Amino acid sequence: MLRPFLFALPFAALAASGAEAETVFVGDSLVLSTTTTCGTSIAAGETARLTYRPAGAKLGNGGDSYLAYVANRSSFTMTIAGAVFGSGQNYAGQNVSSYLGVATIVGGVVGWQQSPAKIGPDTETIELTATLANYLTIKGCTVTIRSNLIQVK
Amino acid sequence: MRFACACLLASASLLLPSAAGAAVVWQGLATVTAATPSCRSDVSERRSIAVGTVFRTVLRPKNLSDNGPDTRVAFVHDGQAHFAIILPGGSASGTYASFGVTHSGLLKANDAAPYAKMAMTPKSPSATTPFVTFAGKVENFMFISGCTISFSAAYGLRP
Repeated sequence: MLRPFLFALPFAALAASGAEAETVFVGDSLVLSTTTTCGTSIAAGETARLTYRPAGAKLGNGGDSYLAYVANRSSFTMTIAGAVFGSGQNYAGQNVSSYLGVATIVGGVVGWQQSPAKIGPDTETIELTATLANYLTIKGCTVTIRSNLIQVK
Repeated sequence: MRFACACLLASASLLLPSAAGAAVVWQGLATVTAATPSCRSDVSERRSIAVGTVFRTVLRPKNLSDNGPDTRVAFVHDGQAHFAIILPGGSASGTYASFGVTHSGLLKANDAAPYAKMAMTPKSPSATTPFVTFAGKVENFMFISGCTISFSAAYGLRP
């Protein structure tokens, strides 16, 4: 019996499960800008699938929020315990790179412009522009992305 | 204290081989050849996995360059869910550790479940082998409880 890997994760997310009654939004995201620290890992003009699952009992989503950036062969998933995403929040992020490296980091939500401001079960779309620090677990890499997300089952 | 040290060491060993560019990987497509009913969603088609479903996939065989002692393989479903599993020692069967994100955007780390019948051709590729195939059977596939699939995948070396 091989033991699974031990992994010191700060995420409350580990106990979360895929409940059927939930409110999830997906969108095609566009990278508007990146800082030089991002190097060649991500660049303006790139697109990827964004999935947003905001916290909220009325949404069926529980107390934690998740924002996932899924590219062709990699993913960067961020979570905030006990709150929705917003400017000034810190997130815990996990990157699974296209080389199958796994890394974690804590980063900041530098900017979060969202319309509508409040999300309910009947919200159909969310217009979002977000600026996120330490993106892809790269310290100092700040990325601004824009996405028009639509609610999906 | 002892537990904390163990976690840090294990975490470091997991993270060290992750330097982009240092690892040797193959990328390609995988198709599902068998799937249990739990792989189908009653809620949404976008969550459903069945025979014939195709995934983007990346394969990182053990002991090549900085790949480390474990084989890793990952699948992306429909551009939304990402399921990366680490096969300890590259064994053909055992218990994997999985990392990634679900169809609902939930972050997943270090989930464990059984896998079996993993087979790579050639058995021990070099860092310049252009083509590789890989097949196997995975339980709780894509973080879906009770979903067991068999897959077959074809890869080309990433330059």
